[in-house]
This record gives sequence, structure tokens and C-alpha cells, in this order.
Amino acid sequence: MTHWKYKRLSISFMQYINQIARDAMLFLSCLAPVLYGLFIKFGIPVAEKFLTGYYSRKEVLVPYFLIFDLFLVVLTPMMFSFASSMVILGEIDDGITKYMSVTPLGRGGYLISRLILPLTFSFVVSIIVMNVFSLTINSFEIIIALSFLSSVLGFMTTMMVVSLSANKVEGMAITKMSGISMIGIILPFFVLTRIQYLAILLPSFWMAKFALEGKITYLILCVMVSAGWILLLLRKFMKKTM
Amino acid sequence: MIQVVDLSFSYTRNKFLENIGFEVSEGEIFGFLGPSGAGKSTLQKILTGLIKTYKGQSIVKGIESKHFNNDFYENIGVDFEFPSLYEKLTGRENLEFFGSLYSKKLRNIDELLEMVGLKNDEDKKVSEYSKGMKSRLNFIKALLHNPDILFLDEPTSGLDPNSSRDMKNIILQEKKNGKTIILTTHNMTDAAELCDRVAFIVDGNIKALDTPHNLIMSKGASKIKYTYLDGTEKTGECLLSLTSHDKKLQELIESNRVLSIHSSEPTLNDIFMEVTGRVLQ
Repeated sequence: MTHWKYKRLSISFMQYINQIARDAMLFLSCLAPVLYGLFIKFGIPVAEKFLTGYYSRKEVLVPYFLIFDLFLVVLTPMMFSFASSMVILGEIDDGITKYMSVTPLGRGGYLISRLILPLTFSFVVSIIVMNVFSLTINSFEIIIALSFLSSVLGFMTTMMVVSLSANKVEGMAITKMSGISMIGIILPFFVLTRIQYLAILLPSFWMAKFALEGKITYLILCVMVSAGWILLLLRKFMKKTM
Repeated sequence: MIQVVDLSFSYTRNKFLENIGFEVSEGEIFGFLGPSGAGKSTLQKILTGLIKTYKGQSIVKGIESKHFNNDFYENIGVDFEFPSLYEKLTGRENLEFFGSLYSKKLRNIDELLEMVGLKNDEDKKVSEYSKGMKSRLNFIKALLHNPDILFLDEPTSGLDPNSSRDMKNIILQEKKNGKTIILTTHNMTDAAELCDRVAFIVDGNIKALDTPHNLIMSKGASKIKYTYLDGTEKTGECLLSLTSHDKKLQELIESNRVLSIHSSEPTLNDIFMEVTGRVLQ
């Protein structure tokens, strides 16, 4: 039966992949991190060369390279999160989410195939993308840590979209709004006073603090704040799909 | 096959389902009848393990509903009122996908499609199906893995009379094949025709539970209505059991003046109204 458990999960996950592959918008959104990676790897150094020459300064964009890297690391999970959200909302509309609970896949299996497996997949893709395109981060351990945190953020965003929206149109609107929660990435770079701590409920803020200062405490805080949001949203989602 | 004892559940602090109790035997068609919001679907959700926070007992095939594991669903088939199908897949692709989630040997997909008249439309996307076609596809999806227990929620809803007749024949055939069937409906005609026993559910309580025939006979009585000419056309009425006491009727029969005579029985719908004080259709 354990063999069947894994088989069902893989069948359900393949169905998720098929749905993305059949939808041009979702398919292209999953390619976005590579396009952005190409832009920052090759476009930003050219822009830096132009700007330093133009302003006759030693460096213009270099102090902010880490911000480009942080957006790169969150982009992969965010795009996968968007794809997951759209697939789940489509399946809620079609009554599939509820039906899966009365099949041997079960509600747990369904959620694993729609949330955990895509998250794991995006974690791996994120590591690869960061290794290939990152401008500043060379440490493999830091890349793994940041990819993990960004995947948790992606999970939280998926939960936010599927819990708070009633259909795909609302889902797209909430996906755009969820982008606001990424403001936490730039705050530690530009707001240097204690005012920055107004963003303590944004996991992206703690991720940026971790990337800047390398303290494990910030990594733990990022996970804890994300977990709090995820649990809150998961409860709402479970009620919605019962 | 199913035992429910002293079952209570509520979505809020207010009471909803209260002290529900019944048993369903193997091979029986058991109907839940009641108006919208009466608690029928909630009861079905409890029996299928979707709701686990109930009080009392709900035992299906010897297992408490709240403790079902995923493999248990190899044995039950559920046909929700609203279709749960991938709109972008074809009818056949839907059946193949959902079938692949079961480890049991599946029934022949071609035969199932043929049975509900969808064989010629198997390669159409479900988004192109009519409401009735979706209902029929949804129904055979529940039969695909040949479950022991079928939960059917308004299975004839939205079907034309021919499709509805076919669907009812299939349900009766599944009963002959030994399946236990739980039917949730507000269609009294379907219930009277299909169910071995029915439970009237109103406001979260079972108001009556028996065979359709017993419910009709215990609460109502057959009557005779007749018309005759007495200057103008007139109508008379008496209970079937008291025909010999109706002197007017005897007189009319002896003088061959009866224009028409009909017997009538109360319907399940009449009994439902009498027992619950509510109207279904």
C-alpha cells in the first residue's frame, strides 16, 4: 500500500504539471526566474559599467547587488506559488479539491501534491538559478538557506491566495497584492533606523536581514513568522474546501 | 453496513444535527429526504469522513467515519450534487485520471460510457458537455472502482426524463449487484421508486424513518372519489375501507348513475408535509 501511496502522489503531481503545461500563462510564469536571471547576470553589469562611466563614480549599483539577488531567490518560489494558486483555484471551481478528499489520495495527499511537492521542486530550481545567476552570493550554504526561506515565503503566498480568493480573477488580484509583502526585502537596505522593525510581521524582512547580517536568529524568525501566517491561512483553506 | 448512533454536529454554537440514529443493511437503498438546509448533505459529509468533528457514532463497514484512512476510499464511491470534473480534460481522460488513483481493478470505461450514453462524446472536453452529460459522467466516475457503498447526492437533478429513467435503472441494477446505496434527494418520486427505506430530515432531526409504503399506509388512507349526475354533475368521496357505509355511493351504483370513480392514495410528498409540516417541491 505504501507503494500505492507514492504512486498516487506522483499521479496527482503529474496532473498538476500537465495543467501548467497546458496553460501558456502559467508555463511562461515558471520560466520568468530564468529570464530575470539572464537579465541580472548579463544586463546589470552592463548597466553598472554605463552608469559608473556616466556619473564618473566608482560604483553605482554594486551596493544593491544583494537586493537583485534576493529578488532572484524569491522569484522562483513566487512564480511556482502563482502557478500552484491558479491550479488550486481552478480545481476548487471544478469541485476537484473536495472530491479528492473522498478518493484514496485523500485531502492530505492532494495538499502534498499541490503545495509541498511544488515547493520542493521550486526549492531545487531556486538553488540552481542562484548558483547560475547570483551576482554576490557564492556560499552554497547561504544559497541553500535563502532558497529554503524563499520557498517558505512561496508556500505562504500560495496559502494567502487560495484562502482569501473565491476564484481565479480574485486570485490574480491577491497575487499582485501579495507582492507588497516583498517590500520587506528592501527595507533593511534603505531604512536604517529602528523604524524598519515595523515590518517584523513580514517574513521577507527577516530574510533580507539574514542575507545582510548572516545571523541564524533572523533565519529562525523568518521561519516562525511564516509558519504563523501559514497555519492561520491553512485553517481558513481547510474550512473553505470542506 | 452503516450504523449511526446518537449523532450530533454543528457548524456553529447553535445546534444543527441532533441525536441522529439509523442503520443501513448491506444491499439496501436508503434515502435521506428533506428540504435544502435540512442537514442531508452534512450527514453525508459525516458518513464519507469529510467532517470528523461530530459527536456520537458513525460507523461505516465497521470503521468510525472520523478514523477512515485513505485506503478506505477504495470501497466507497461518492457522486456529489455538483460535478467534480476537470473541465479542460475529455470525458475519457477524466475517468482515466480518477481511475488511476485506485489500486483496485477498475470497471471497463467503455462499458460505463456506453451505459450512460456518453460513448460518442468521450473525446469531447467536459467544458463542452451539457449539464446532464456532466451529471452522467460524474455518476459513472463514482462507479469506476466498483465500490461496495455508493453515496449519491441528487443523482437525477438536471437530467431530462429519459436520462433520469436510465439513471434510476442503473441505480436499481447496482443494488441488484449487491451495492449499498445512500441516496440524498428532495425528489419524492425518485425516493418512493428507488429506496427500500427513507428518513425524513428536517431542521437537523429525523422526523420519520420507514419504507415508503409503510409511511404512506401508516399516515394516510386510500380514498374513493366519484362523480354522478343529480341535476348537475356532483362529486362524492369516502375512505376505501368505509365504502359499504357510503349510502349515497350504494344508491348510485344500484341505479347506474355513477359517471366516474377513482381510488387515490396519498403520495410520499403528502406524508412528508403531514409529518414535518414542510413542503419539498
